[in-house]
Amino acid sequence: MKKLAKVIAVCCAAMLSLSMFGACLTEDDSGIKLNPNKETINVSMFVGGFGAEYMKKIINTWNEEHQDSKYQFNIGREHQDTAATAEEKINSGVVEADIYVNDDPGIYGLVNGGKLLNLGEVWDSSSDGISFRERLREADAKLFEEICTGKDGKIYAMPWTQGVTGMLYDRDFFEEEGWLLEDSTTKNGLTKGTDGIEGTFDDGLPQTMGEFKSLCEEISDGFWPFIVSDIVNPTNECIDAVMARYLGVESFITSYTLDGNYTDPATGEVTKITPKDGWKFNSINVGLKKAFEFLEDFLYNGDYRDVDEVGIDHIAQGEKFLFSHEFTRIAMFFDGCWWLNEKSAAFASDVQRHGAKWSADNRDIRFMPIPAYEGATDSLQGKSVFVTNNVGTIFAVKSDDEEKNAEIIKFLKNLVTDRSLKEFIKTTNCMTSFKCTLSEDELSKLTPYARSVYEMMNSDSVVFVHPAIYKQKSLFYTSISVPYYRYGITYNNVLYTNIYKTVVEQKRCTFNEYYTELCNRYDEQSWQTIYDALVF
Amino acid sequence: MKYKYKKQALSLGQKEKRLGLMKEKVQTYLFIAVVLAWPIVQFLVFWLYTNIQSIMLAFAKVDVDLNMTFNGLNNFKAAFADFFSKEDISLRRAFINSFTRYFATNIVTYTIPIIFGFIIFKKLPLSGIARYCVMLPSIISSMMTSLVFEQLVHSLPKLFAGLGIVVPDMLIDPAYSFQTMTFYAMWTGCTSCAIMYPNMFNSVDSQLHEAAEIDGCTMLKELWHVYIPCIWPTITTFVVTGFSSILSSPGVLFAFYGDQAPYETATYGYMVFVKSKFGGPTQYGYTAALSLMGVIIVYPLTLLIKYLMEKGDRINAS
Repeated sequence: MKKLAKVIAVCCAAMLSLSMFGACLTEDDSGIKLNPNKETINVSMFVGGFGAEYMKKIINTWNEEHQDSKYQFNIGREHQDTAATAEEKINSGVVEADIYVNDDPGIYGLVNGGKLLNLGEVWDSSSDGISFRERLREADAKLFEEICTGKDGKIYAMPWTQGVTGMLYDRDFFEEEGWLLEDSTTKNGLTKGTDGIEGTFDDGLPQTMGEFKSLCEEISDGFWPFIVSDIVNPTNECIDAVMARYLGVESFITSYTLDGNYTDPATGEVTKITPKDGWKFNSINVGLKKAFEFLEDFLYNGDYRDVDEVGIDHIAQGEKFLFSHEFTRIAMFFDGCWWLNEKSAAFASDVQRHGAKWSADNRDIRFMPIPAYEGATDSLQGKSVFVTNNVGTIFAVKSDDEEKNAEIIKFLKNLVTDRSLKEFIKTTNCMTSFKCTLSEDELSKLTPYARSVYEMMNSDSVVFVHPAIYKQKSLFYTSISVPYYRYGITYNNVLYTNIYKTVVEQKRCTFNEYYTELCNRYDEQSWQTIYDALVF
Repeated sequence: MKYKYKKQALSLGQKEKRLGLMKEKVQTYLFIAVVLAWPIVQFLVFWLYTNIQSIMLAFAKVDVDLNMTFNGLNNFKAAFADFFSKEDISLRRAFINSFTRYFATNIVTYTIPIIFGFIIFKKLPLSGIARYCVMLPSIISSMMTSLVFEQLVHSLPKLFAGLGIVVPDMLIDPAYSFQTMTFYAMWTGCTSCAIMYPNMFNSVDSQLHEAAEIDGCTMLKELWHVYIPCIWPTITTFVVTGFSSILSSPGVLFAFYGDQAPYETATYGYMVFVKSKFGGPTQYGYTAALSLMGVIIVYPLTLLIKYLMEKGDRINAS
């Protein structure tokens, strides 16, 4: 027995040593071919759902085509830091890279910090006959330019990725079960959807909450309509999506900034909200009420999801959704546009066990716009609304070497070309903030999911709202010296800030009670503490 | 009569010997200085500087641009106001939880390791199994232990549902989360002591054991009257150092709940940690004041505990 224990101990020690040795191997495993004789311009890469593979391909192509250049590009560091962390490091003299690819728009301090390279030339560039600004969606171009521009009027950053989130549904499953809404007058036999155009991504999908309710009831007879991650739950994104669709974009932005106009969708009455009287916003915001109704009636309805599925993050959620055809099938789940890029291993496993039918190329999973409640704003009539959980940005640190700066500008211009943008789509199955045009042949090579995302990005009937950017424009998220919780309530003498934890997980109150407390949280007197804490 | 000692001229050999001794001394001191340099620098930077800065922060106001200004006692006023607030009892509850968890946990984590350690030391039947059981949580990474425990607790409702028994998810249900985390703290807290106690029992003079045997002591009496008094100073050290961190240690709550632990489960140290990590720079002064308040409360209590433990020393107490 002692000998056996010794053998086991030696084996464990050997495994531990080998794994430590493996981690210390110094070969360049970034996948980018480098020339030891060239000066390297490093890219600090946020690696989340979109990964870094697409950038490696773009860099390899660039390096191959610019053999004569004295510079080459490389991904110097992969991380999950925010722009705020990059700002801290740069301001304290720790410059880890020349170009930073981030996942968030929190760059206000950076664009006003005087250390970044002026990217005005990139913004004024054109490629493939389309200007940089024309590649941005018209509704978003001004907003993106605003956050990238410093107080001196110069542009120091550019938008990049766009973390579109929403309800994803298994269209194959819907077609098999006959859940798509039919219309005998159309060629494909399906309703035209919210945009009223036949042959688009929203054909056959519910347009009203009544239709959505009927759909969920039908699905729940034998299957699960939803699976919801409790670790990375989509509560806030769902609230935003329902609220934005109900109120319209302007009122939705006001819900973040508490400084703008709020228009009641039912009456058309316009109320001016200022930071000083922000306390009354929740009580007049009918979109918030609808959002809570959606959470209670749909997303967290115990009849529509398996409540015993706990301890699952968004990745496990997606895997369970994909594998659900082996058990009780699940129809929909809420995630970000990068979900397919994160699930390559899951798809491979499914194919290995059940055949090629279950590969990403053969499964049609798409975004479903959340329908509008009755009485929603007319300003978004015929539009589908999606929320982005983040807008990625790129900036570069100014170098004393003007030649290097010029090379960086050229590289960034190259990112906003059809070729690079197509590489992004092919690799990640998502789109950046920039539009590009794919040929029919190129489209046919994409997964059905990527094709639907491409269609959404190029559709005039799709509206994206960007809470992450609205927060950057709001004093309540950037310049306040006391904690401010958008959904914080005091219930039974305890402060709660997380709706999901409070209502669904710990069952301390109902959604209706949470909503009531939210509306009554502040009065004019108690709001003064918040107002006084704002730094104007 | 005074004697004068004449300075005698040193021979070459004596000179060389003296030089050699000096060189050896210099080398010895140099070696000690080099060995101690890094720990001293670490102490100065990571203990002295950070604690001084924490104390200063308690009296400062930090704005969104990280500018510090003197804020008098306002942070303490805010901390007191929150502690005694009628609107939000979570901080008060966390304070009570800290003490409750400490006493509940340590009754177990001080007695069980002693008993297990004695079983292992005496090589009683099943001592091998006892050794593995108590050592397992310290061999496996704490992250793995917490992950496994978390998944096990999450799966219990489904496991028991098959038997027709309704079992709540004891990590999520606020009625059970405190007890569950206390149990986890007990289980993982036993290990280090259980490793050390057999070694400490080994250091006890064997003549005492023989004398006890001759006097006809049972094993339990031997443990109580011989071994525990002998290792009492070590037990005192464990108790005193454990008590001193009662309000500062966040425990493992963050690994299980992130920043959203139910208030029934949160401890004072956890609340301070979460507020400082997620509250941003504007909360630094307030959380530093909360921390300092904890120190002011715990320090005299720690001295009292130390006094009582030293009084209870049956061998060395005066």
